[in-house]
Amino acid sequence: MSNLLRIGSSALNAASIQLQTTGQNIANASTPGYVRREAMLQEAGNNGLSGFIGQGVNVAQIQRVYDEFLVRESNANRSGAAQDTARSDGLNRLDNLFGDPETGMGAAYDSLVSSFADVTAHPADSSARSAVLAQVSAFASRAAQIDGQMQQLASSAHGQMSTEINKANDTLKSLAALNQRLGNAHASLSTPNNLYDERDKLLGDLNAVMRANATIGANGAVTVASSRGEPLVVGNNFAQLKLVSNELDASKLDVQVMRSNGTSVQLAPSELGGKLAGLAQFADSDVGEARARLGQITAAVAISFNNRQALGIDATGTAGQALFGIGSPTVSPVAANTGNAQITAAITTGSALKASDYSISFDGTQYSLTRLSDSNVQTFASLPQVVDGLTVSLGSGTPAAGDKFLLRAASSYVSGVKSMLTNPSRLATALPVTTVPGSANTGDLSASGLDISAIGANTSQPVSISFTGTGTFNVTGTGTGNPTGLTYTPGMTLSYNGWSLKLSGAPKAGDTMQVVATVNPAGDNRNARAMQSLGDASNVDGAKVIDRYADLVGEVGTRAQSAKATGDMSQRLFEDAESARTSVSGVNLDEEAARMLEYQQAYQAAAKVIATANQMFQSLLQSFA
Amino acid sequence: MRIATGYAQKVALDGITDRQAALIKSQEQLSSGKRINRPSDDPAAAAEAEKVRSRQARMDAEKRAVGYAQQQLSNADSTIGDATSLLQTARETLLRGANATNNTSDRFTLGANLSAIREQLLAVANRSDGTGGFVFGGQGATSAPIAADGTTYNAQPGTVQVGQELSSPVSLDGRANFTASPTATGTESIFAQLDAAIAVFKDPTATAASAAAIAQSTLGSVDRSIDRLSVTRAMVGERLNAIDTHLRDLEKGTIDNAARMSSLVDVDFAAAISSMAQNQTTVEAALKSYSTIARMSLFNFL
Repeated sequence: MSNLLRIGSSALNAASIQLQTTGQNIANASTPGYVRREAMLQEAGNNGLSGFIGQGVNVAQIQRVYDEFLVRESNANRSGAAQDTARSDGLNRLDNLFGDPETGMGAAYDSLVSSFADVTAHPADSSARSAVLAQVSAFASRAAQIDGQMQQLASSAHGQMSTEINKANDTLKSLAALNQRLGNAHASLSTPNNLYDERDKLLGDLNAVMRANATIGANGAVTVASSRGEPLVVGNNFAQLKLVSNELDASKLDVQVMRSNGTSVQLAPSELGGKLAGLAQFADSDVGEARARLGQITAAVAISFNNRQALGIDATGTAGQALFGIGSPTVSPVAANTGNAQITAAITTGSALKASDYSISFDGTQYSLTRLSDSNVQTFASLPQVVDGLTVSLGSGTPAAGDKFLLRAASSYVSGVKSMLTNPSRLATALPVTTVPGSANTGDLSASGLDISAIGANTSQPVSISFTGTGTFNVTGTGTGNPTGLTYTPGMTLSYNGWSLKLSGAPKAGDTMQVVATVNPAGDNRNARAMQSLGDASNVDGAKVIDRYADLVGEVGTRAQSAKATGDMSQRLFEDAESARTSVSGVNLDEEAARMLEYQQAYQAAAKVIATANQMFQSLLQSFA
Repeated sequence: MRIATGYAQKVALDGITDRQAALIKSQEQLSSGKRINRPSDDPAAAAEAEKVRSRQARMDAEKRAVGYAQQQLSNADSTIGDATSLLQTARETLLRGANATNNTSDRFTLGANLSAIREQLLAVANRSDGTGGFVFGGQGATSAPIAADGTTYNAQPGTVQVGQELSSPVSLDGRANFTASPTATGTESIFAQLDAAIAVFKDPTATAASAAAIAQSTLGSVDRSIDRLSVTRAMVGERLNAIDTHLRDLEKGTIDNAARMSSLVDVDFAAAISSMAQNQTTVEAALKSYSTIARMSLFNFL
């Protein structure tokens, strides 16, 4: 009877604990990181009889229901999803910058080209000239604005990286502290389920920020390392992360691990994973490349119009001044350089510029110039060299072996883009010289295709081409050397003093063609027409401006689209993994309700056992009465 | 498979959010009328749309430039017409002047008539093009291109051209047409020729024979001038025809471009409305099923 009482009370106790466990599960059904628990029952031992009855039931332990493999799977997918989603969110904002074609760079460029078309019709009209200057200014400010917005996106992503680093550092610190508490708990032989939950939740949080591998030790303590094995938490020692400027390019950020012993090591971007990797990829690679393309287009446009402007004369007859200002390339030595060389770079050919920055290294005998956009390497024994439209020179000093430099090219152009002219009469719509056939010509001699390659001291000097026969002519004028007896072939090109023209027709002896200074530059539209025709010239590294811009728009769109697809995909993988993990570890309220009924019945039954034992005892007592 | 209640709720809510995002997207397409509201909506089409828009901008600029040439050349055509009829009048006057029976007073009257015609002709030759230039302004003139003496040309001979695809003159050469027109033996100015006739007609000491002689030779000049102007006028007419064709091509190009642009970026309303309705149904179904399933719990029956 006393055994029955004992059995009954152990069952009552077990059912009560089971009910409490169920209650705890219900209470924490939506607590992040909570792993459902089960009271594990075990039959209590022998009571000494030869036939086994047992002594009731014991609660062996309160067990967390979880599958370590599914937890690991979920964490790995969590960092993948965090990485792809962070990049996709960034690209989505970049994508929006190119959302409205009517306010984009392409539209600004087309308005600029159209304004040149309008000034060809009305070169003398100062409002048409003002319209060109207004479009120059609009194009420059549009480029600067889009570039500024892109820089803003990158710096906002860098700011987020800093926040994420702080989160990761807090998590690493908490994990080390938790390891300490887990050690203590094990020393006191308890099973700290709440600490295990906390540990797994912290590991999940850390994986959202960066990919981290965890190994659970015997006492439940966790060892955390980066994906390539750099230790982050070992026992109660923890490392901290920090953001540092990239050694070569200070506008980019690297993540370093500060080990507990005080030394630091850099984590490669591919090693990072998680939100940090997504943000870094977006800020330094996606935005960087879009900015470089914009820089290339802006510089090519500015330089091609400046060059053409320089070949014309303005309304006052002065050679054209630059329409656009543009940022110059800069070269900065790496802080660790041991030589004292200062390298300089300048734009030589705007139409040959690439959408890239460069790194320059010196190995003691050779310079290697690496184009960062496609890792193309060129080596040179000496400087200066002309590469991709840039002249790279040794400004001063001597480089030492191992020295490195960053040549900021495409990323620097837009920073200096601006409109240079304010006076509409400064627009060089005219060419400095005009051809005038002799009024008494008897043949049909004509000059066409007059163009200027460079305005020189003698460009505007009058030059006379006079035919001494149908097939020979003399040239007279300052700067020509006055050659005589030149042979005429129809369609021939003649070049003197920076101009060139094509002669055609059948001249007769005595016929002349005069090349004279333009009399009325304010009303001359020939250079304006040449500028208008630049509109669709292949002056951005072999392609038209609008094609390059369309490529940029398409590229941004494609990246945003594929990043969204990748983000959705990895989010789905994470959800699948979470679904698998929670199907084991999560709380199902219906299940808990059913369990509650079951345990409640068990409790009632156990109480009945005790009541029965009591009745048996009472019956026995009554038999003595 | 066990379903964790909290996670199932989260997934259900995420699903509703996704459906709502799709609904908002079709609503955005319908309200903007655009299928592409950012490049990622269709990167290839967004890139091509940039090119189409640019082509349209070029065509619009070309239309303006060529339209300007059309206006200038129409103006030039009527100016040539006016000059030609003045020359016809001069011709009639000279024909009367060639009559040897004219007396001094008759010749003086004819000279005065001729002089008035000459002044009108100079005004026509120096006619403004209405936009700050001159019809016979050559390669650009800021003041009247033909000097009062009728032989000095105050501009550079030649023409100003506009247009990229179709190059078209917007001015005419005043030197070749008036001040130094080529002849078989050199050049002549129609004004100088008229002046010579006027001088003789107005000279009371001149003989009838000399008047008849100068009238004859000036008639030759006037005829050459009429011929030259008619050649110029034919060139203008030809150019105007070419401009008409070019403008028609540009108009057609604009229509084609608009169609291309529309097919690239504009929303297909029928499809968008149907997709919106579909998304709406999906959201409603998701909400309804969520509220039904979320309400189901064993606790309700305890």
